[in-house]
Order: sequence, then structure tokens, then C-alpha cells
Amino acid sequence: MTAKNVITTAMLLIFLSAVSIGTATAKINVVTTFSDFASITTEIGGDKVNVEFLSQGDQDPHFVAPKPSLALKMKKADMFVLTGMDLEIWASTLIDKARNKKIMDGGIGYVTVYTGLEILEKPKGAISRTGGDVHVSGNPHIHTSPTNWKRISENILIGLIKVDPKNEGFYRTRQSVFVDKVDRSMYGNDLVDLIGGDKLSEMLCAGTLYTFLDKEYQGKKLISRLGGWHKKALPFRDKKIMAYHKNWTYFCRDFGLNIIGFIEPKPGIPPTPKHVQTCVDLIKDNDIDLMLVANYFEKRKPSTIAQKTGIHALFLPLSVHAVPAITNNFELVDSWIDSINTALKSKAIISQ
Amino acid sequence: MNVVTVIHHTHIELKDRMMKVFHCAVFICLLALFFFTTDVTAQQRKRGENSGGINRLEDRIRKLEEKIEKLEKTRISEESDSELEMLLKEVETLSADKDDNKIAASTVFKGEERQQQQLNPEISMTGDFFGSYSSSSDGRIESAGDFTDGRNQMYLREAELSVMAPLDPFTRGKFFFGIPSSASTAPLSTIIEEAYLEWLNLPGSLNLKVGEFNTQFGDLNRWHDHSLPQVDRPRALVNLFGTGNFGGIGVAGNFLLPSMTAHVNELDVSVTSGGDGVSFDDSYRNLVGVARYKNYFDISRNTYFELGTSLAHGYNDEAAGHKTTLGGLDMTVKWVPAGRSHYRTTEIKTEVFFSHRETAGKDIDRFSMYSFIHNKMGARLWGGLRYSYSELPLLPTEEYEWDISPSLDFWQSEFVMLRLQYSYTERSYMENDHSVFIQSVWSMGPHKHAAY
Repeated sequence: MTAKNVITTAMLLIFLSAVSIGTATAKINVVTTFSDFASITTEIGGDKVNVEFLSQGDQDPHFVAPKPSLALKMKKADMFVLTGMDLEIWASTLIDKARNKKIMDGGIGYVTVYTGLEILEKPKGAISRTGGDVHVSGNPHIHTSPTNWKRISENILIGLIKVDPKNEGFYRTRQSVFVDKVDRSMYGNDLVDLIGGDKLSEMLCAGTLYTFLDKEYQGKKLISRLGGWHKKALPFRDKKIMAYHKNWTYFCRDFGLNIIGFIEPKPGIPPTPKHVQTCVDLIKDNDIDLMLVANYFEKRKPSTIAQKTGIHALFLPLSVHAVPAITNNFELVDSWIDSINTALKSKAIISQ
Repeated sequence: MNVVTVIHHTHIELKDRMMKVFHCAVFICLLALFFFTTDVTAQQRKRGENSGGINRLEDRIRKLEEKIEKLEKTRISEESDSELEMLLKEVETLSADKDDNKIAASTVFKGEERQQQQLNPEISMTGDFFGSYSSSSDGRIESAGDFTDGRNQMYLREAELSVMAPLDPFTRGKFFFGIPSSASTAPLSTIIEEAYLEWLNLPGSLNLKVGEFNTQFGDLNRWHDHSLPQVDRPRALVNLFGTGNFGGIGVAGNFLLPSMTAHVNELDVSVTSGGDGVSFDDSYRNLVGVARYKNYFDISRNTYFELGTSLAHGYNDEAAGHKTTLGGLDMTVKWVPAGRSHYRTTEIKTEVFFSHRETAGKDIDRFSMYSFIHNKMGARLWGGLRYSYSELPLLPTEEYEWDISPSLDFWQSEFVMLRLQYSYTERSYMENDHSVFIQSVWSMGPHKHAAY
């Protein structure tokens, strides 16, 4: 090999390395407030995005300390994804600290995923803290509903197209695949192929899905075609339950659970002994079997109530990565539904 | 005829008859056999003739059956399609928007042109009340001023009004007004605690403030009274800056630096016109410079460590040309278990200060420090312990004091806090004292302390 060839080869290698480095760094940096939004962003962005999240999966989403290291993450971000309601009040401090115009409110990389969603439990009339730690725009725990993920993914898609328009087709395809996966996970293949996921979701939100599924098609009730999470959730549909905090509102809307009381006397107010007794009476009067508690809440009061009433206190991870085994939203909902079914089965066995 | 003959004749007759019968039977059998064989042959012949026709018929039947099956399928498919069509119509009905978009004839029209409240700034109020008992009746201790916040009285230390809003896409405006109690000995007037405009995202990762603000000397100095981890400021700070914050009117820059000596590095630099009136002359001509370099480390997912070094320099007597230089070192370790942050948090903070003060006589060099631990023991309960040591920086004689202060905080909710604190203070220059405080802090509105 002549010296000229060596130089040419070296130059080529340097050029290819530079190109590969350039390609590697061309990824879009996305920072999300929560791991659940990070999971959806990864589904859409695939290998074209680097995704980081600020609140740890097992952390109370209301209270995240605006640490300098989080601001530094946001400084490097091309896109910032947050709920956009008053759940992440702490995010405004970080936005101001981040020195990143792209992700400032209204900036090209600022994405609020609540946009376009039907928000539940909007306070009516005068708003005051007599209602506890009130969310003025309504319940912000939107990620607990797979139905909501579709709209959340649309908002993230819009953000990605804005910050990386050359890969629009790639993102659109992956978002469609994600939405289809959500629909099939929710209702199973048969119903989605027959009716379409969007229509099923619309009926679910309108509260008419199960009226519809009672109708016959080709000599069989449509509900016999139901699959996915909804089929798995049938055993606990319309069941009365207790919850610690208003984390589960959207999940209960999707899967037909009926929350009749909360361990917190008011949102954000820790339970008093008197309120614990009120809960005990409520559970006994209504013969309630199940209590849902996000696993960042204390276990003592729910356990006390469980001992007094026999209710099954189920401590569930609220977000992706809250436990190591749950790495995406689908695994999260799988775990919720499986845990509820297992709890109710064990309760039934015990009561027998 | 004899009997034998008769029997013989009878026998012969019987024999003839039997033969006839036999012949008849044979004839009938032969006849039957003839007819049978004839019929079978005829049938076989006939069958052979018809087999072609049967096949054709079978073909026709098969074709007819196929046609029928096809027609049946078409009928079922048509029925399914129409059933599906009906179902989908039902879907449209069931998922339809129930809102009636028709505008009623009786509608009274209302415009939004006068409804601009949404643009009002974020307004919050904070109340800070305490009652205290002290074993000392020394006037310096009892009366509120630069030495203490007051003792042996009930005291509304402050009603703070905070007003803040984005001014435009580039700047934020913040105002904090301290409204003293009407029982205060000072004339009733509103005190501007802080009022500044802040530009965000300037080149060089700079956020720039202009206005009146608390300087970033050390860590605790910037905190407003109601957000302190104890009722009062540590003596180490009080002896340097009085009972309030060390601030002034001027310009301040906060630089988010590239990571150099820690995970995050920040530099705060400010110049104010006039000092705090204790360590620095409050004359407007006295330019006081303050700088702090911050090193922030994430030790683990639940723990961080922060180390800051601070410097302040300015005249303590502008007319005489005497200057003061302050140095500070602050350290914070905070443990917040991510899944248990509602119930467990531990924070340890220590600050050490050095003061060099020029005077007409001998220069005064003094040291002071404080350290506290603040521990969350449950959803509502915090316990704390603070120790502070301070050599008095203004006195030429070497005097000192130290105090120890355990405290217990009860958070009724995020917006109402009650605190019980005991302090023992030992002094070399005046009598020691035991103090007990009961404090209540409450806030209305959206403002929250944005510490981490």
C-alpha cells in the first residue's frame, strides 16, 4: 500500500467517522416531565429521538424539586413535553432556569399533551382551597387512560414534526402504529376490525360503549367479540371501589370502575383518624372489596382500613418505571388490570 | 271290494295326487325362475341405458346446489352488510356529540372585550405570625429590630403580598411587598422586599435582574422570613445583616455555566447601590458587589450535594472609606427518597462566614457559622435542630454568642404551617436567654417557595 493510498484511506475513515458522528448527534433531544409521556414519545420517535424524563416513576408527580440538574437537562432539549395543566407547577421554575428559548411556553419545542383532551372533574362555581389542593383546570392525571394516550400521542407528533419536519413521514407512520396498538390492546382485534378504534373510543368516552356491545351481530352479541384489556377488565366492571387520591379517575372512566370514596378527606390533605373511621363505615355499608393506592402514598392508613374492613388495599405503580419491570405504558396497564383481577380473585377465595 | 283293495286304490290315488302336486310345484318354480331372470336382465339392461342420464342429472344437481350456496352466501353477506351498516349508524348516534349547537333566539350576546382578568398577575398573600416568650427582658432582645424579631409579645412579623407575571415573551416581573403590622413601632408603610424585572435566556446562558432584590450571598440569605426552616434567622446571619435579608437595588446576573467542577455550575454576580446597613453602608453611593459560585452534584437518584462559595465587598463607612469583605462557604446535603418524599426528607445545611471589617482603629476579623438538620418525620411533621455560633463582626472586642434551637413543624396542609421552637442563646457580652416561639405561617394564592 502506497503512502498515497494510506492517506486516502485515512481521510475516508475520518470522513465516515464524522458522518456517523453527525448522524448520531442528529437525534432530537426530548425531555418530558413524566416517564409515561417519555414512553409514548419513544414509541413515536423511535431511534430518531433521545428521550429523558424529569420526575422519577415512583415520585409524586405534584412535587418535584426543581433541581439544577433537571434544568441542565432542559437546557439541552429540542422539545419539552408536559401535561400543561397545574400538575407540574414546578416545571415553570425549571423552564425559567433552563436558558432554552425553544422550550419556553409557546416555543417551537413546547408541547402540552392535555390539548384537545376531555378533562374530567373541572371545578364548578367558585374555586377555593376549601376543596383541598384543587386543580383549577380539572383532573390532570390524564395518563391513566389508554384512550387519552391517543390524543397525547397526536400532540407529541405535532411537536416532533415542528422540531424535525424532515422526518414527518416516519413520525406519522409510527404514531398510527401506536394508535392502532392502543386500540387493539383496549378492545381486541375483532371489534377494532369491525367498528374501528376511534368509534369505539368515542362511545367509551360518551358512556355508550357497553350499550352498543349488548347489540347482536351475526346472531351473537357484540360483547362476545370484545378482547384486549376491556375483556380482561369485565370481571370488575361497574364495581364500587375506594381510592387514596384522585389519580385513577381516567382509568376508572375507561374501565367502568366506580370510585365512591377517597382515603384523603380532600385532595392533598392527609387522612385524619376521624376520616379513616368514615372510610371504614363507607366500605362496610357499601360492601367494597378494593382500594387503589398509588405506591408513593403511605401504606399505614390503607392497611389499617384493610384490617378493619377486609378490603383489599392494592398499592399500584402510577407511572412507567415506578418499578423496574414496567418499562412502557402497555406494561403499566397490563399490571393494573392483572393486579386488580388477582386481588379480586384472592378476595373471592378468602370470602368463600 | 275288500278292504285291501280299497286301501290299495286309495294309496294309488294319493300317489297320483302327490305327483300332480309335485309337478305343479316344479312348474311354478320354473316359471318363477324364468320371470325373475328375465326381470333382472331387463333391469340390468335398462340401468346401463340410463347411467349416462343419471350422471347428467347429478351434474345438474351439483350445479344447482352450488348456485344455491352462492345465493345463500350473497344473501348472508347482504344481510351482514346491512346489519353492519345499521350498527355503524347506531355507533354514529351513540358517539355523536350531544351538545346542541343551535343558538337560541333568546340569546343575550356578551363580549369578552372587558373581561381581561386572565391577564392579571399572579397574586398571593402570606401571613407570618408568632408569639414568643423570653427569659430575658433586655430591651435589645424584646423589641423588634436588627437584633431580634422581638420577644415577649405576639407579633405579626409580616403580611407579604407577592405579585408576579410574565411581562412579554422575554421577561418576568416580580414584586414582594412586606406590609408591617399596625402594632409595629415603625410608621405603617409598605416595604418593598423585592421588586425586579428579569430577562431570561440572554446570551451566555444569562438571566439578568434589575431592580431591588436579595443578593445571592450564601444560600439562606435569599429566603424570605416565612419560608425559613426556623422561626428566626441564625445568629450568624443576623449579626452580619440584621434580621432581614442582605439585598439592595441594582443589577444581578445568574450564569448557568458549562459543567466544570460539578454536575451543574452556576455563577451569581450582583452589584447593588447601597448595602444592608449593618455590614455595608446603606448609602446609595456605596456599590456593593456580591458573587457566588455554586457546585451542584447529584450523588444518587435521591440525594444531592451542593457546595457554594460566596464573596461580598463594599464600604461599611463610605464617607470614611472603610470597607468590609465577607467570605462564605455553604454546603447542603438533601435526601429525598423518590417514592417516599411525602413522608421522608432530610436536609443538612451548613454555612460558614468570614468577615473582614476595616475601621478607624484595628481591622476586625470575625468568624461565624450555623448548621441545621431538618427532618421530615411524616406527612405533616418536621423536626429540626439548629446550632449557630457567631463572633460579633462589628465590635472591636472579641465577643461571641451561640445558640441551639430545636423545632417542630406541623403542616396542616400545604398552605398552613404551625411551628413550636425553643432556643437557648449563650452570650459573652450580655445575659443568656431561653426563648420559646409559637409560629403560624399561612398563604393564599398560587405562590410557592421554589426551593429544591
